[in-house]
Amino acid sequence: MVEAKDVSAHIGGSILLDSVSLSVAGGEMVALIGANGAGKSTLLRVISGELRPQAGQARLKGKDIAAYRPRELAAHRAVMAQSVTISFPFTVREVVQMGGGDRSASSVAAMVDEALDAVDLSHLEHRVITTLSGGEAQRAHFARLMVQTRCGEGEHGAGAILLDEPTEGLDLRHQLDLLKLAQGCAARGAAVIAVLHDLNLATFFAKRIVMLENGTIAADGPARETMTDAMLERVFRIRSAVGRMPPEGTPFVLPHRIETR
Amino acid sequence: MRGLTPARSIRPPASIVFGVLILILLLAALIAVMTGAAGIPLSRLLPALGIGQGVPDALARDQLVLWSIRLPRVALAAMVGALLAAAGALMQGVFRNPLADPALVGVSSGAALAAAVTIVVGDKFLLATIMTLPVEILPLAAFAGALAATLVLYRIATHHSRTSIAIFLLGGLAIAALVNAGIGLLIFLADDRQLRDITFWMLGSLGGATWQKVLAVLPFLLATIAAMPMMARGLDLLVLGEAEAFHMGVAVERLKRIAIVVIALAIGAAVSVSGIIGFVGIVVPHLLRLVVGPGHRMLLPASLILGAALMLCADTFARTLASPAELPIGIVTAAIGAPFFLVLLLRHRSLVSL
Repeated sequence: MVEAKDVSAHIGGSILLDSVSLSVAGGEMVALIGANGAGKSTLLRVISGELRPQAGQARLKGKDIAAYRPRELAAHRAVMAQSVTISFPFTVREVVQMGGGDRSASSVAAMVDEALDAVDLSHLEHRVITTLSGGEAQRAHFARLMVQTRCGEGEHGAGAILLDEPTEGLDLRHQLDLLKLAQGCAARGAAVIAVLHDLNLATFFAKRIVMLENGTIAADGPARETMTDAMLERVFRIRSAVGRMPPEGTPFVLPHRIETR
Repeated sequence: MRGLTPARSIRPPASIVFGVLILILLLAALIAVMTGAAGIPLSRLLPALGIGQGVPDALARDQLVLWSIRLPRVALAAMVGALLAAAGALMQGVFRNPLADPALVGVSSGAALAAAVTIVVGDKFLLATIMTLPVEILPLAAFAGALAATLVLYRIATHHSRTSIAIFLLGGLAIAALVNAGIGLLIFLADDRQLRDITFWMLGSLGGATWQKVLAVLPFLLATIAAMPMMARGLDLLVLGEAEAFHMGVAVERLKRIAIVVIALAIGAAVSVSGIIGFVGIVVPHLLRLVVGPGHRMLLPASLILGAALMLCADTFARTLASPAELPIGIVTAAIGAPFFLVLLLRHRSLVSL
């Protein structure tokens, strides 16, 4: 479904991505993890078609991402970027409705209702979005993404969903809710790629973990194989105590800072 | 933002909004037609318009005032108001900046400078001939000036596809200063007759409205209206940010190009016949957002209508306050608009932080 082939990207003199290859199939949910500046957001921007890499190619459903027109692309993949700022008083419902693009308010009303309910915002639908807390606004944007995804699915079948730190600012319950919803999209056939900072959420929700380090992929595989003390020390420079939860042996992480002198 | 933007919002239906707006516009037009140095009371208005019987001796005078002075002026005022308000709403949308106003950031000045240069240079070229400068040239020249100013402003304020609100306002200030220096130079070089024309641009006035000017502006107004449905949805999504708009299917660069050209068309046309009239572009869309919300499908057409109505009121006021003399309308709109802008600035203080 989603493919990056030998993608390299640099801005000015600094290399953001160095020949990264990644392939994610429909139905898969992948967590992208790594330290700040490792290239997670850049990789997501390349895969979304927003950033053209200097070398390599991003493909969606077998077609070069650059060959899609924006409108077409929006029907095949949805993106939630970090921190959206809005300077006009749109209501929560209006923002979620934007996911429907050109479609009339009445034709997407049912989808909007469903998405608002799913992110637990039905009671705030007429609130002006700029008056919400950060976490509530984040949930509204996720609901918008769900409407866009639903509309795309209706036309072209499942597509790609790219999430850049979707749980940022959310309380624990809503973090779980949101990732559960993303999992639901994957279950319907979407390829979901999420940048996550919470390693335990990542292992809990994603069957596959991709670790980025300095613009290259350091590890790619099931949590059981990638979430190891050695790997976490290398990627995050933390000393962690990776434990195993019975019965499947799912790893959990208790990080400790490495004292540097 | 509390106070100006209610925390909860339920939008009234479109039919009611546009019904009320059109009613306001018609009322403003009626009052504007009736009042002036030579008043035409309602009882004599219909006969003068050719409906029903009138008193013969007053009729001829009424008809003259109505058809050659009042109606072209009312039509021109309404069109200019519509263009300025629509351009303001578009500019705020495309720059994602509720504080944008074409006159404030030098776009109107750019149009005025281009028009003034055309007058002075055109006069020089036409001096040897018996021709006078055709009215139709000025809107085109003003369009070019407005387009140049908008493009420079865009280049200054947008960096890595992010537009800074503060840089936008400050950059606009610098452009306005530079352009005004150019206008100052022209004033210095101009002869007496040219001086009168140029001063008219600096202050803004609808005096000297003719049917010829109305016809010269009409295509620009129609083009602006025709482009609106193309842009409305894209501008809504652009509110989320350029990257987000792209993610949701908007061809962002194309949308911005169209919007910038339409802004320049609207401002160029308005400035070429009425000079620099400020703050209509910021007051009208802001008032409307409180009622219809920020969605551009409603906001853009509603701005046209309310802009026209508000400009008619301001012009009627400017004509009658010091009657029979006329106050330049730019003074009226600035006196109302500038304090309004300052209040907005205070409300949006957090947005403007550098």
